[in-house]
Order: sequence, then structure tokens, then C-alpha cells
Amino acid sequence: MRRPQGYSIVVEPDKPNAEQDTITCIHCNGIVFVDAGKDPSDLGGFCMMCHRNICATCAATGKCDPFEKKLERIEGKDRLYRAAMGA
Amino acid sequence: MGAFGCTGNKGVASVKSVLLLTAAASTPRRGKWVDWSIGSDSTPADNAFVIIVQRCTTAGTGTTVTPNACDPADPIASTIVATATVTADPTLTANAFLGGKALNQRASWRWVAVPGYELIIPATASNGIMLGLSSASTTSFQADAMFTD
Repeated sequence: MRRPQGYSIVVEPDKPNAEQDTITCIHCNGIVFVDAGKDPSDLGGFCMMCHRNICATCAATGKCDPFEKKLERIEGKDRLYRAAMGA
Repeated sequence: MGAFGCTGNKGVASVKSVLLLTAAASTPRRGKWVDWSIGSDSTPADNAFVIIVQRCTTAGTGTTVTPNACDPADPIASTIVATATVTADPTLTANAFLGGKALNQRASWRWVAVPGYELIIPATASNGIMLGLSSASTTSFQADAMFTD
């Protein structure tokens, strides 16, 4: 693909190397493996709010919930908990 | 932000985890998993395995590995806790799979992220990412990781 976001290779004796480009979902941070020549519509989706690729599972929700916002929620809860516990 | 590398191997037969990267329990900072490779160091055989990368909310029990700075001049130690030879799996977040691959035991798998597209370890106490198998196995596995924090 033109602008891969990652690269995966599986090396196995007596077999050709299995190379794949990957994209990283902006909504869940998951990896999507992109086979050469794969139909772009099978890769998941593209979030028009984030202007980045998303995985099929996140595309199916139809919502924009960027991973950065999820992280802020997760980390905020932890900060609050540790502040309350005096840790 | 520094770049670090570490290796780990699978511990007892009853665990799935090969290598865990988790945020520190106190003063956690975010980490970014940049690169991993994993393969079996057992006697070659034709067995099927599913390698998974999954989020976890505890650090698990095992041997804490000291990550080495990629730049020896880097004066700051990593805050990310790398755990190998795991004897008790961490609490894995249901359905929070970041990637996975079905492999023959003879195969090894490497994944590298383009800068800006890494897997992120949240700055939340003992939360992180597990690289391992989909089910416990007696077969030995070895993994290495590069990350930044």
C-alpha cells in the first residue's frame, strides 16, 4: 500500500516469507493486516472526523471515538483513583 | 522519551503470556510498543498456535526484565515494566485484541510500526499489553520488543 502504518512478516522454513503492510486503527489502536491487492472496502473504514483508517469493528459502530479520547478517560479514572487513595 | 529493548520467554505451561509491557504501578507514563518478534525456541515440530496481542489491566506475575536503552548514552531509565517468564497471567481485557496471527510452531512473526502508529500503553497503573498465545501451552516461546516511553 502507498502509506503503510506498519509492517508484518512471518518467516517459516520452506515457505516464502509472508509480508503484509498494516494499518493501525485510530479508534481502538488495533492492527489491521493488509494483503496485497486487497479491496480497500474490505479493510475496515475511514473516519472522516479523524481522517485516519479504522478497523472493521470500529467502522461497524458508526461512531467517532478516537483512541486518544479513550486514553484520556482511562488515565483520568486512574489519576482520580490514585489521588483519592493518596498514592 | 527514550527507546528501549527487551526480550522474554514463556514461563510455565499454564500461562499464555510470553512478554508483558505494562505501565508502572506508581507514577505511570505512557509507552509505545514499536516492534516485536516472537517464535518458538522448542524443538521444531508441526503444531498450530495463535499468537495474540491483547490489552491487560494488571502486571501479571513473573520475572521483571530490565529494558536496555537503545542509546547507551540515554540517562533516563524506562518506567515501563517488562515481565517475562510469566507464572500467572495478567487480567486480560475481554475482546481488546490489538492483533493476532495463526502460525505454525516453526514460524516466527515480526511486526514493526511506522512512527506515529505504535501500540500505546496507557499511563494507568499496571495497564499494558500482553504478547502471547491464545491458550496455554507446554511449548516454549521467545519474544523481543522495542518500545519508547
